[in-house]
Amino acid sequence: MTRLLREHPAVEAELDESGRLVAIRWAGRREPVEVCTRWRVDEAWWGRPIARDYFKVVGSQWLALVYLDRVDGSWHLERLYD
Amino acid sequence: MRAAGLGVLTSIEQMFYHCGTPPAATAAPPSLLDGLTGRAMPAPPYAELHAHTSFSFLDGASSPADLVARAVELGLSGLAATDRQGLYGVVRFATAAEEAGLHPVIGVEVELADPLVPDPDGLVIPGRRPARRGRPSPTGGGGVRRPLAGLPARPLPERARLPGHRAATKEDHRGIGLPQRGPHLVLLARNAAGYRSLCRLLSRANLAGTKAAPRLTQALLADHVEGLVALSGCRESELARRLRAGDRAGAHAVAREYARRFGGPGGDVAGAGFVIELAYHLLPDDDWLVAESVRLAAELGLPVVVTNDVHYARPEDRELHDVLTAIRHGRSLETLADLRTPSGEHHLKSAAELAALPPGDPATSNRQTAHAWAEGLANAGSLAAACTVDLGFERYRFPGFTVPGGETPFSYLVELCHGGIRRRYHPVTPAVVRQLAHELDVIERTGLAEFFLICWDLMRFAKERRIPAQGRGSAADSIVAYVLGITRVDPIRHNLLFERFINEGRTTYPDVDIDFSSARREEVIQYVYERYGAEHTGMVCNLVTYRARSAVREVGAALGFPRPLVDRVAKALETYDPVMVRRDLEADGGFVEFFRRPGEARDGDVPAVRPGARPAVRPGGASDDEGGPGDSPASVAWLAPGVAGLPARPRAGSVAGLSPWERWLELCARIDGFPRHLSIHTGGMLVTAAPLIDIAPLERATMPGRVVVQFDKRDVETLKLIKLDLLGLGMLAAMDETLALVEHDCATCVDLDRLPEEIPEVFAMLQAADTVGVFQVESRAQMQTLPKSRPSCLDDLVVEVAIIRPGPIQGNAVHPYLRRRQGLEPVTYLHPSLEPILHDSMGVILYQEQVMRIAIEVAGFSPGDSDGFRRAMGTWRSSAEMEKLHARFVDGCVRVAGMPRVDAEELYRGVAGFASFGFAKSHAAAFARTAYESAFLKLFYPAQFLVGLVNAQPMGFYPVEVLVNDAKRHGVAVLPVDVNASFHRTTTEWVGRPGWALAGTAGDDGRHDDDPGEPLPGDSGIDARPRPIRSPACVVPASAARDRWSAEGAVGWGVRLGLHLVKGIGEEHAAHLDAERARGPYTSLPDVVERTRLPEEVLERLIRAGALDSLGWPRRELLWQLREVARPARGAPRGGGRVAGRPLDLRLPATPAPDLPPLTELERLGDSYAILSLDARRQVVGLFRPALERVGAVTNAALAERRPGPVRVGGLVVTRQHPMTAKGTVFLALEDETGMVNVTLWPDTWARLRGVVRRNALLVVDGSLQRESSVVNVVAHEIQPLVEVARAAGGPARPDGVRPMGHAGMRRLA
Repeated sequence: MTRLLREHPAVEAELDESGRLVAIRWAGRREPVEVCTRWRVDEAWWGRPIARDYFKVVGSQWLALVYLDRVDGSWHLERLYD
Repeated sequence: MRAAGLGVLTSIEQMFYHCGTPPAATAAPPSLLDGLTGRAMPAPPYAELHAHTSFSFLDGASSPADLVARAVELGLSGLAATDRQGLYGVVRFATAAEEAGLHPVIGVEVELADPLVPDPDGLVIPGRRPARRGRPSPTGGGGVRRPLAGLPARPLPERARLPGHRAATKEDHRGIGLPQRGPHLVLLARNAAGYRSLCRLLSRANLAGTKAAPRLTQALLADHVEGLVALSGCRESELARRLRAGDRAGAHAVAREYARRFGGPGGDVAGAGFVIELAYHLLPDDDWLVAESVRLAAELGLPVVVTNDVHYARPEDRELHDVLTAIRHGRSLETLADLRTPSGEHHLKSAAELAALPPGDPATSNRQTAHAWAEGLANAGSLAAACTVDLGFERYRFPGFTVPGGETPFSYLVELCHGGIRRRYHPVTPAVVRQLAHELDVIERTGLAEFFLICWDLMRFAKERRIPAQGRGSAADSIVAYVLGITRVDPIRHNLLFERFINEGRTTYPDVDIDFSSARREEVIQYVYERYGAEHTGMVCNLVTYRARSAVREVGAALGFPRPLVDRVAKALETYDPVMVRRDLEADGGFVEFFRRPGEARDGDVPAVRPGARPAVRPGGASDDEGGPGDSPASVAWLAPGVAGLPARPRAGSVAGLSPWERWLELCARIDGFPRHLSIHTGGMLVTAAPLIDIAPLERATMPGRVVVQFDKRDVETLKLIKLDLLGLGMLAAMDETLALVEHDCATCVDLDRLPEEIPEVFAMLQAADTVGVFQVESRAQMQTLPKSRPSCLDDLVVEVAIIRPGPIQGNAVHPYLRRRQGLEPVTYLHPSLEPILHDSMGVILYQEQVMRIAIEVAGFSPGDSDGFRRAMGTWRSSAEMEKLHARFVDGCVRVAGMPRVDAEELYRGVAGFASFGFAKSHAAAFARTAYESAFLKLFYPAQFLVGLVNAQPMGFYPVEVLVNDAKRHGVAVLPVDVNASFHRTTTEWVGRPGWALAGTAGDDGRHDDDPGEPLPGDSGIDARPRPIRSPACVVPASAARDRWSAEGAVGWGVRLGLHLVKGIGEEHAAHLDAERARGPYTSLPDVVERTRLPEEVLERLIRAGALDSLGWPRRELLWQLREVARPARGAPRGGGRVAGRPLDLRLPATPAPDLPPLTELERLGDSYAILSLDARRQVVGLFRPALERVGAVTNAALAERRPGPVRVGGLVVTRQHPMTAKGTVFLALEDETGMVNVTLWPDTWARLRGVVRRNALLVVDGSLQRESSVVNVVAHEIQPLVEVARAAGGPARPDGVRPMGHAGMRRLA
């Protein structure tokens, strides 16, 4: 089952020296993750721009979709796969 | 480990680039990581092999030159232009690449009509929604396929087939996204054979399909594989579509079949015929697709290349690409989600950027993929290097001119010249013989004999068929062209310089432009097709690029601006240049709110706009064309400054951070010069030795049966191919018809070739600036200078034609000449050696030939070098190059002519200043001759000349109403349109000689102007002949001159306006209407309806224009009857049947009309202007004359006698000009019933009165009268609507049909 998170809560991301995503912190928990796939969304530049880098990540307990908001540099959790 | 929380942006790009920091997009030496070992290794040169330029027509957002420049910046070793379905931009691309030192690869991205291997499930070409039930598709689809959910409906062709519409020739692809269209394939030309294959393939596909949709089938492709390399294509290729749909077997079959077809795997990529393309655009399934493609390539042993399917040069150009996509689909950006390219990554990338993408990272992709990615990058450079195509087609330029046995083209040319010289010169002087021998010598050495023979042959054909024709341009410098009959200007008599036309040092091809009568040019074009074969002949295309209005409209619609606002902005523009849109709107007072800075926006004016939301459009759809932005909530909403939530770091050059208004203007400027579509060039024909299909792709033009090449005039010149400019000149058609009428009406045959060159009456007319309708010297600027320059011979007229042009005006060459001409300043020469060269133009440098002569005779240049010097002066060159020429010129003047260095420097400055606007004397001389001949015809055969001009429209400077009113002021009776008297075309009609003509010399002083003369025919439609206006600007020849130069009865002819002036009556009605007219007069309205078969709205226009007055019924009663008896234009039963039950069908008389009020004169005049934009009986200002007199306005004719000072005039605006050279000054020509006057508005006056001038056709101008020589000008201080001024003085109301000038001086018709 998939949970779509309406509010896209902010999360913290940990990157290694090469800039790769290696862990996510959310709700006080740290989850080491591995990136399965990634893509970029660059949309609506004429209105409210959406510029995001999406990562589908897998951890020991999570399969999640997170994104980096390239407008303000924040990380968000968009979807959790149970 | 480190945390990347809010505000940490350094790693944003690193997410996708595995080399630590994002690679800089510069030409820094790329260093790739080896995908297997991770060791850094030197990067091989990378070339982008899949790139779309702006010549992909709304699918490429950068010009070829921009892409080349960016590729050089990024350090690419080569670049391929692979535009969609055409080679439109390859010449510009190859030229730009050559100049930049970049290796060009020529290719194309084709869209195939069918899959390569069977596709029963519609994986490759999805089905589209079929025609509605019960309406089988005319395209043969049969409606078998079921519509796929979510796919847009394809527009049905039959929707366009309404009655009266022409058959649809375009396939409408709007709203159909790439996934719903045919699969793509990229083809690159490996060599000349490959280029030929591309041309043939595209030509045949174009000819098999429609104008907009070539039909490129697999079978056709299979026949054209020689010399081609195929790349598997983007994610819309058949291969990628099958892989994405999970059809690996099908994908394998496709790859195997293409590899077999294009030449197998080959030893290395340079020899391969089919190559798998790898591209990564940061889309969700890109990782997977690249890996799958690599696996497939490995299994089949096929090489791979990395490309980026480039659609724009820089990341920020993505925004323009989205806008272009919206334009292509006729949608706004908001509604484009399913059609826009989902990724913004289609820009040119360097090798380092591509190498750093995830597929190249062994840590994120498998080893096989990473290895293939690195290999693909290297392969791209190698493959590009293996593709070399030379576009030098010079050797194919001559089609092979057949000459009599035993002759060579040159010997035959010599023979023709010797025959021609005896016809042209009596006697043949040694100077003539010397010049001919010199030119033939140069022609032999440059190998251009065939070129002259081709031109000669065309003129021979035209002469045989009596098609008026004459050469112009620099060809008139040549005595060979003159004796062969190509030109009509004697180069010896006019002291012309052959080296301007041809010299041995010239690198570009000589240019011969031949003007033919516009009415008969098509015959000549058909002859060229027959003479050289359709395989070797084609029309050059004309690239239609964005202009200010089209840019504003299409970009505005794409950005989602409300239509009324887009309309208002577009209509407010005076400029044609998209870059100048901002300046133009800033000058227009109506848009001041839009230019207000965000902080300056007035509170309350700007409603809160939800970002991204479309503002509601005012209900009712009323246009807010008139008035300011405040009157439309929809428009005001767009005043919103910027939008919240902009990127923290918007890219440089991005329009994302701008307000909608600023973004609109900026994108309009960026779209400048983008090709929009193709049309046929006005006259360029390409004639080649090799079959044309091997040199350029051909495609259908909109004109049925006409084929054009995909290269435009500039491309053909670059390729050094032969182009014949067969131009249609309206004046030649007008003069031809005038001569035919003179012969018919007056039994007089006028041979213009033998017309004496110094008829004093003609020059008197020119000096008086009475030149409405005269070729080349009719513009307002010409009329302003003619009384000052006072031309008294043909050479003076040559100067006049050459001098009143933007260049000399801008270069301040006009005033020195005019002052010297008027004796206000002495004629001096900087040095005696210049006198023989500049004698014709009184010491002022005017002609390109003079620059060359100065270089040759004063500075010691060779003829070839002098031409190079002339061209270098006229175009931009590097400062070092200019300095070299400067030094050589000055040193030459000092050494050869003994000129002091200071004078030599001054001469150089003069020459350099002139060269930017140079004009060939030969060209001016050819035009001056035509100007002189047309002036002769206007003076002595005004009625016939007016008929010629009216029938040759559109042409010339003035609309028909001005020509007609001018003729009336010269005493020509103009008779109204009448179904019982008019033919389809305008004709002459005998009205009898006026009293002033019968009075002989006694009538010359105007005292007999009111004499009735011979009685007017009863059915003339006018009450009296117009009285000639006796003013210095209106020359009516004296009886002695008429006796000498024209036929006796010439003044007894009037002009009957033709039915063609009524909108809706076209050429297609001509034969039928004239035949019915010959059968006898129409007796009633039903008779007219029955016999003319015209639709109801056209008949209504005829009634309103007064064309049915001769039936004897009042117009309102005719209109009443019309509703009952006319055929409806729409909704008529198919097959042309009648509507049952109408009185006409039942042979019943129409119901009698109730008592209807008669038409007032104001209504009659308004209708006449609305339908015909003129009135035969009176000029509209005459209606207001009593009121104008009451407010102190004087007539234009009276201005000639008036002293300088304050003055008030009223009139109809007939031209409005904003010359770029005038720095914001605007000129109006104001016409009343007595003549025209020039009104000048200084920039501040224009800024203040712009609204009044633009919105009113009839104006009252208060200003000051200025007089210089006999030139009269009114400088406006205040302008008011004439109708309002007249109404206050008890005058009539506004006639409804008289409309203000639209854009470019066009008056909109009803």
